[in-house]
Amino acid sequence: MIGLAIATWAFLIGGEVIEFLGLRAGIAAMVVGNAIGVGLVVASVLGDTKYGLEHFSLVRAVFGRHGVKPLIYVVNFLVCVGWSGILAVMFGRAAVNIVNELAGTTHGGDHGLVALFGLVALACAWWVVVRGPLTLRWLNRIAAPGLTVVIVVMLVFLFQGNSWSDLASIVPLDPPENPLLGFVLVVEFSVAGGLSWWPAQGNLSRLATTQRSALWASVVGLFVVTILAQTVGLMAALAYGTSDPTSWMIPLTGAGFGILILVWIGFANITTMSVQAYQVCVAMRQESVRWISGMSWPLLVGLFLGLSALFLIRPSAVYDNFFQFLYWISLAYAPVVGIVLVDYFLLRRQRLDLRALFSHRTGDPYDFWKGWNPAAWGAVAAGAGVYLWLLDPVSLRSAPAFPYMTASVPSLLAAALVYLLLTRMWVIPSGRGGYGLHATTDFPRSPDPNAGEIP
Amino acid sequence: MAGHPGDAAGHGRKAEGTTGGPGPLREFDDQLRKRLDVITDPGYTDPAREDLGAVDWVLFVGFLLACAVGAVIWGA
Repeated sequence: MIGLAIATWAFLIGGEVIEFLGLRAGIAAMVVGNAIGVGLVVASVLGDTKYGLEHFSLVRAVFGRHGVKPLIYVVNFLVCVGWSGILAVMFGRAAVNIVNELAGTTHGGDHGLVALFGLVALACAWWVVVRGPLTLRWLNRIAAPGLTVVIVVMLVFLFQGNSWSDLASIVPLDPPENPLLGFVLVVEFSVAGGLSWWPAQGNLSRLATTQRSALWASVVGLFVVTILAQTVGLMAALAYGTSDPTSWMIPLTGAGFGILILVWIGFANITTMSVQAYQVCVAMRQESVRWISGMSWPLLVGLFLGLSALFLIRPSAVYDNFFQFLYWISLAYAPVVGIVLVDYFLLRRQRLDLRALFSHRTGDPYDFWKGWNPAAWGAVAAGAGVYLWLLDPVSLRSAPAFPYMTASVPSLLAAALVYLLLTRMWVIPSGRGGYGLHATTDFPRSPDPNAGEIP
Repeated sequence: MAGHPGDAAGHGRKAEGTTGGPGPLREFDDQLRKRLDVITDPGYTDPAREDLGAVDWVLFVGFLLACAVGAVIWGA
């Protein structure tokens, strides 16, 4: 978890804060946003620890065995393609900064070399994922400790050249007229940063031996360590007036250390892209869509990473407006997390039928209507509508209520409420969803235990 | 090449060690056998099945709430 938390995107998120807020208010907004986002995510994946399931297998109990597929093949896929594309751009920019330093050139952030090096990063990630999880494990063992060293080195150099009061006196780049709006815009994308862990956190939590250890490890890894890494990113961004982490390192630490750190950032990004590609492609394989299940592993991974390469056409388009990408993540995941929380804790009282989760038979508890639960997708639509009403992720136009309530929290609550009402008034009276069959032994079995198409 | 669940090529290879898994998974065979012995014992209860207690919930929510409120008072 710590490895994920101190991935280079923590620098990016911290750096984005300087658009709206200075040091103290920025740290405060990040703490509030991460407390909300991480808190909700950690609670929503306790079922993964309890049942030890791959995350989206557990979510079948909410969306149905077919209904979960859009979450995997559209939402999770696009979010991870976006993350990988952004990390590829960061790799490209880190490499171009090294070239600029060594060759005395002044290539900008959209130079063709950024795209070229980004493609190299994606190719390296493809090679790693095709080699398998043992290579991934080996890379992760050195990437996370290395980034911890980077954070410490950055802190040392930051406080060599600046005092706390120097950094605290620097004004943000583009603050809104209403200071509360700026604060909540940062809270909002910090919430999104927390929510973006949802699928990965589910898959990590399932490996924990108790729910207590899963919860507290997540709080330390995803909340405490993330805040530290983001704060270092914010301080460096304030010191150099840019949110791009690849621009800080050489001015901050000098050419020698700076180039080493940029090389390490590039390496860490390849590791993170590989982890993303691996988990997304494995999740896609497990859902039994025939043409994907039969596709060769190198081709599937290549397709995923190939789509990320689209972000290299114009690197600045998303990379320089990174926080807007986070708002889209929040729009997608906040309603889903709300629904999962209500379903697991309120409606099912933390009990699921494991066998039914893998059953493909019509009429089984989590079959709903031909494998789809329309109540869940209706609630997602309601939550997304509330989000868009409160905050437009493209134009950043916000409703008057937004500064007082964020967009993700009302979106999550609206989706949860709609799901609760639809389930109580429609799904349960229809006898669908297996509500009330709380023990794993309650599920009526077929006389032939092999009759179900259990994968 | 290391094998893994997503490796389509692995399906066509002869399994070595762990059933259905390619060669490198053999190193896990002993661990898997020991684990199976533990979890198939009739007296075994999985600690992961124990739901989070009230104290943990209060500490969890209280910690995050205290951090958020403290941060707002300090920085906003």
